[in-house]
Amino acid sequence: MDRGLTIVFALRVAGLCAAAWPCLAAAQSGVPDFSGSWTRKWETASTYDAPPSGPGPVMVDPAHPHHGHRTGVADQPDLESTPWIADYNNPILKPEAREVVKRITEQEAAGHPHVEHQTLCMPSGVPEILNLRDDMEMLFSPGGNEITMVYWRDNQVRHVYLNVPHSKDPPKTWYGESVGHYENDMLVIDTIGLNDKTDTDRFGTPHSDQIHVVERYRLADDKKSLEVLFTVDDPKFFTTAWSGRADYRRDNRPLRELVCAENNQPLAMGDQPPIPTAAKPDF
Amino acid sequence: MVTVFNFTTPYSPPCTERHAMVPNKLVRLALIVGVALLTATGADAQRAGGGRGKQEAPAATPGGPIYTPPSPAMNISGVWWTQSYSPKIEVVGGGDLPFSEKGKSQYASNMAALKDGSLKDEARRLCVPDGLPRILGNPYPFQLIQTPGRVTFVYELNHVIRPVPLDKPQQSAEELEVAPYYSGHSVAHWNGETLVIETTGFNEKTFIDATGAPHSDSMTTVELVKKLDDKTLEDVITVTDPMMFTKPWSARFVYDLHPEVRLEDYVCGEKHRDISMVKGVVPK
Repeated sequence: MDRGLTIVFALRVAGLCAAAWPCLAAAQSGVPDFSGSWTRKWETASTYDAPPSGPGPVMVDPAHPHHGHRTGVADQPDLESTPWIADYNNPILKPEAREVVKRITEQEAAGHPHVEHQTLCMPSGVPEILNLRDDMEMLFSPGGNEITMVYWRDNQVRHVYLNVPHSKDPPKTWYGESVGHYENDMLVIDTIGLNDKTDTDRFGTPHSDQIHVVERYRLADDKKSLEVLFTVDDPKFFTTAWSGRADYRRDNRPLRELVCAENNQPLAMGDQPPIPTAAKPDF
Repeated sequence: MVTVFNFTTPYSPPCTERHAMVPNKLVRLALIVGVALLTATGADAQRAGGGRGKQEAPAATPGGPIYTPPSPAMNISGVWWTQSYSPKIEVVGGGDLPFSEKGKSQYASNMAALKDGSLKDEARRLCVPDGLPRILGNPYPFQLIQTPGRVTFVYELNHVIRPVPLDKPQQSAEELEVAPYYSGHSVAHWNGETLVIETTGFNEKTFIDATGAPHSDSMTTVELVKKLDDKTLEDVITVTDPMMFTKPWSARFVYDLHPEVRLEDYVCGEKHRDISMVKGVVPK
């Protein structure tokens, strides 16, 4: 069918549905309920878990496991945190990406921590936003045309437009352009149009503005977990498309106001990172 | 090649439930055909959208736990954009803010300090939230999202979020004191087709407006939000703060619906969308 006619016909159908306004909402009530707040569960905090099969993300080098600072925990010895040592020999990395991760890892080992964008009060981008420690919520707009994803950390927001195509040439932005659809009870979010200013993960793995991320969300059978599998493709920095897992567990705490710029404190290493500041106001 | 995932636990889509509540066959057919056409065009564009792998065509199955407002007048969801901006808040009925002696003194002090630079407007410099009522008049679009039991304000400016639970009691004074918010803590209920939002638990780090008008952390506000017509929304806020004002006062904000607008990223210090067309805006 001619594309113009397709759109016209689709709009007419949409108009028919609009006349019986509640119908769309009613039709959508049978799909899984992703609403409420969710918090990440992971094997190593702030990193992706391995996918069930196939090429996986850069992870902690098994020879140098990471643990955070621990003190005052009953029956547990106090621990100083260890540096994040990445497995930069992961074959997904092209040489130029491996060099970046290797350099950052060596700096970590030398006592100079890699500062994540979230610590700098900057957007985390996609997929790294999946690694935020604070809760995430999905807000479903009436009409069913959008899901707004709110992350407590600095109240970062992503907008996912449902059942629409990507723009022909979307501008490069921090969270890119996300479109979504359902495949049965699975929500699929497809994101392009990301800028190249964020990292792919907490190890500083770079990506270009050609990165393409597909996230798949589904409720676990017990409805208490949100299973998330995602695929990353970026020919500039990766030898192949790879996948990772970023599951959440249901939390249901009320959404909080978390303002990063308010609580930006000097890091343990004594460095005060710059936070986004406007030299002059917009208006 | 983009991986097609196999989740570790099997599942069966609840197909029998999916269209159970569609009211009649005609509407159901229209819905299925319409979504199929829309998703078909989406698949075309996605195939051209980049990435090495083949992209799967979206299935003709919309979804989500969608809230249906009881009436069109109570459907306030959407992207709204103020009709005008004023750096100095405009009081309903005209005149100046009814400052108390303390308020008057604090306002003079704020204005002088903003002028000599000893006080910063952190909402513009560090992009922390504007707080109420200042954010109601900001010249960037914002989104209202109605979900079961809640209305959420999502502002483009400074990516501010205001969750407003419906028909819930306000938190205790002790809880509010522990965690005062820039945007306060809000609860709301519907009075007819007007959404009544009551907010307390503010911090005292924000200004009433861009001129530096002060408020205390004892401020409380009541907003009456209602549609004036299908495409226009009104928010009348009444501010009570005996520490800074001699009596409650109100301000009115009117917004136009902009379904064609998508909220954009907002990072402090970057170039943002053009707002020069908003009446009253003087770009700096």
